[in-house]
Amino acid sequence: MVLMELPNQNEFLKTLWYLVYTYHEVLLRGLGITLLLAIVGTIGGFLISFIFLYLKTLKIDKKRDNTAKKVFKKIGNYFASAYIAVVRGTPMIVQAIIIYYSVAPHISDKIWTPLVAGLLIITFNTAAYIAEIIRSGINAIDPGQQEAARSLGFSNLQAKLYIIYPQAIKNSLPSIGNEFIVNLKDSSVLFAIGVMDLFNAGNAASSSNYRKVEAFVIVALVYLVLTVATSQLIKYLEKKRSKGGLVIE
Amino acid sequence: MEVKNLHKSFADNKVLNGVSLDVYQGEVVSIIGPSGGGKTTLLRCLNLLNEPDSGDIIFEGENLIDPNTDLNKLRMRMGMVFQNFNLFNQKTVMQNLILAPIKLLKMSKDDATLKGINLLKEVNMQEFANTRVEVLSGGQKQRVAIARALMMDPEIMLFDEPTSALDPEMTHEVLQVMSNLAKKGMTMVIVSHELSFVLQISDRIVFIADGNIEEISTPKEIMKKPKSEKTKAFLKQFLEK
Repeated sequence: MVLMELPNQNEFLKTLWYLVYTYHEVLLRGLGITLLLAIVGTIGGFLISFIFLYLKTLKIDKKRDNTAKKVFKKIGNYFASAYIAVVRGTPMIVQAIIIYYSVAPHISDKIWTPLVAGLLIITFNTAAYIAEIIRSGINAIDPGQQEAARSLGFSNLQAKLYIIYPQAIKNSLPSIGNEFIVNLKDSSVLFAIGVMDLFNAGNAASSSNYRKVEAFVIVALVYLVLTVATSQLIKYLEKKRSKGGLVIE
Repeated sequence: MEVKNLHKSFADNKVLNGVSLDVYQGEVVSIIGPSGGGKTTLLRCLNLLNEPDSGDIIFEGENLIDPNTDLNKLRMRMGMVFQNFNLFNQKTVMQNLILAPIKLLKMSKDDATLKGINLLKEVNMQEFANTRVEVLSGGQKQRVAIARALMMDPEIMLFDEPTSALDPEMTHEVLQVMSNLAKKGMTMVIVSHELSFVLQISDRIVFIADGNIEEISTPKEIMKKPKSEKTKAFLKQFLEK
């Protein structure tokens, strides 16, 4: 690779080109990490959200539950509510630092890398948000759905799995898509524990030449392309889905 | 089915004050009475969608109130039809029908579908098997809801104001399906405002007001000489309409 010479301070566009040319590998790797964080975080968070959703929506049946079951349900309710409150009530950057540095002394740094920690943090963070999204989706479903299911003989859990959750998920898909966009952007705070994502690639590209503005304009453009493309995709899928909903098969 | 001394209140509002009722196999029992009198609550207590505060409900020898009873198993043997249909959204008619038999009775999908086709014929909905339920009319939805309940081969069918949300023409098609069921010997408990229909179809009429059963009579008896003043007043109002 031919090394380009660093352009002058006032040559903005040239500098952009210089940075892209010189640091494209770093930037691409950062882009890959950011995508990985957003994808794993959103899908993992979606799956894990059901644990919290299940715990939070446990209802005590005073007549039929024995004491152990009552205690389990009560603790489950409290745990899920507390978890969701803490995660949604504190910045992810703070959560990241506390978790990364509290685990680091106990696990080899070959396993507990910033990326591994970052993936876990964003996943468990997203789980709390998606649990709340789906819960409001559940609340929006006519209680008659649950009653009809119970009247046929479905247990509470079966009614949720077969009838309530699928509807709530379908209705929540646009919001879950938004959560993916949020993750694309907010995964940048994981630079604080040293994850080499797109944001940190901006740091790397400007560390020796101090062209911060130019480097982060490039980073901003990449983020923008990602988020705009994703939101267009979500819009397209939504359109397709709402049309599909009316088709007579 | 035996109902003994049922009490139910919502907060401070006493809805049922010691209601007792027997329903025999093959019988059609209709519950009538003024709005807010406890008809729907009584019906919903029969499969414990509303849990009574006290009393017993014994179905085929098993007490539904007993915490050790497997309520889900018993509910599989009792069909229920709701005022607002409560079909499962985002599914086709056939999917609505076969879900419970496949998941709960472990029926194969082919068997369930075959049964579904037959039941749809009975409610005259066979050409809508693959239609999404959202696009159906109210009367069509209710006929599908009846078929869905019948998929489980229930021993008793509970109807909670099945035609209250329907236009007159649609009401007729649903009542037609119900009277066919009655003719086949299905045990039925019906809460309805369609007085002329229930008088025609029922073996016995239960008149309930203010949470008490005022009288239980055959349709003939209740029309000729109602036992209670409240029944008299209620029927008079109806006849004037």
